[in-house]
Amino acid sequence: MTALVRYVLLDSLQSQRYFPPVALYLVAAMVLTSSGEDAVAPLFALTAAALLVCSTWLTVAVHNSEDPVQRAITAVNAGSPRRVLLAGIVVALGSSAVLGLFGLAYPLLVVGHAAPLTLLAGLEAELLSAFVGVAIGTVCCRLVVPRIGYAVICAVVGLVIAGLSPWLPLVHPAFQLLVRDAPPAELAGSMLPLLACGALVLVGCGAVTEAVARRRG
Amino acid sequence: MDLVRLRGVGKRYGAGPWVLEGVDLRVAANEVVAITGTNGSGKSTLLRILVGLSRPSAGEVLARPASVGYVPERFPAKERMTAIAYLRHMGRVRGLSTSESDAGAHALLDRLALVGGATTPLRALSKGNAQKVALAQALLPRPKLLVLDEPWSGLDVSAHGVLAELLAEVAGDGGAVVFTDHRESVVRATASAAYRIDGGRLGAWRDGGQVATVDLVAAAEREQVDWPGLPGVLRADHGVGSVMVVVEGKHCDELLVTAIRSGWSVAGVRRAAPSAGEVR
Repeated sequence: MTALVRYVLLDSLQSQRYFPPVALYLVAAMVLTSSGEDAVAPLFALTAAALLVCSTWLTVAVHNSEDPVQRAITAVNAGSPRRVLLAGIVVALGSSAVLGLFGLAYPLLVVGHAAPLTLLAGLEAELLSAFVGVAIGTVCCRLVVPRIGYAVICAVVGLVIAGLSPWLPLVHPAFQLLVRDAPPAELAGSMLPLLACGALVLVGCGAVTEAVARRRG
Repeated sequence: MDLVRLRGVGKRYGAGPWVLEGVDLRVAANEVVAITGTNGSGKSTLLRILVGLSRPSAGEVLARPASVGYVPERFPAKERMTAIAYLRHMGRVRGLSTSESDAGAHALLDRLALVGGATTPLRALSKGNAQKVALAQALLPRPKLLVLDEPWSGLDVSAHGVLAELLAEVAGDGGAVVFTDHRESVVRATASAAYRIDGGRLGAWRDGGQVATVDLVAAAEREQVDWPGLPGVLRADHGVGSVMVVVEGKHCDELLVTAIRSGWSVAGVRRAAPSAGEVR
């Protein structure tokens, strides 16, 4: 599996399709956090929101990097198509987590201080965004939505539903908690169940993608 | 022992028509199996099921070795990665170490005479050279089951001989080879068994491709034999003190008995037609 993850990572890097989402994220994170805010928690909400969008895009780029025929060869060599999908999810999640660390570090640098529990809550929010972003990106990849135009529409719909629905125990309640600048202990504690929900959504979306790909294959 | 066994395999996409129906296939070790058929007859779908990329909608795959190599009909190399880096990665994905992978890849690319060398980026390779890389990845390490989709069509003529050698090596090493092609000459020269797909159903190709080539050498006291007059003999080519007889598989034993009784010595028997170079 390590060799497969390495190959998928290198292939994604060499295709350079990661560049637009990563550049957008870095710029967005820097612009959004330059508002002169002196509380760090609302800034984490902004960088996490940017990460949600960019990790979705990045995930689609990772899954769609290989040509379908070449992906078939990789799948045969890896033992099954499922492993290639899993390696793509691992690469997308890993890269999104790295971007999330930037989204955590940059506001901290701007504001200059943060309570350890606020920092933990920020980390949880970034991870949650990464989970949900990778989940949406995975169900919008070529295996499920072959045409990129429809994939963009599906991803936007997915992001709007996940990001703006107060009734979904995912990113929206997390962003609201951070924007409200709730007490650090409450922040860190309330994020945990949301993070678990995010992980479940990722597992579910991965399973749906696998099932659709198997039906089509 | 069967390396591959399919029972009643059928495939359809969604509610569409059946692309394959009721396919039973057994491939034993040391066998080279050819599958012929017109375009769109379901050949490629059958190969995708054989390598595990596609699951049958009906029936089941009862046996398939763990180590499978797959060469698709075209290899769309759009990557910046070099040929050797790609092969190194694929070798490692299949469990080789980096050094084993490198050594194997260099050896294969040398044999196949990759133009431009191992450090050419995949996207810069011509169709024929990209196909050589596709072939190399499937043989790294040597698989128990090698599946190739129209392997001769993409490859330059100069590499055809090497391809035939590589297929024979996989089969000779206790593995099995399954390939598709639509040319009779290729199937006759290479395959030990052949099938034809027609309307999604798998049937025998002629007598299952069962033609044998018998090489006979004259002993000191031999009788004259009217080879073309014997039952099942398709052709007899005379050399100096030798004869090569192409005979239908079911009459092969009969021919051998007649030959030995008449004072000829059997130099070789192959379950295949003679290759173009041997025809005198």
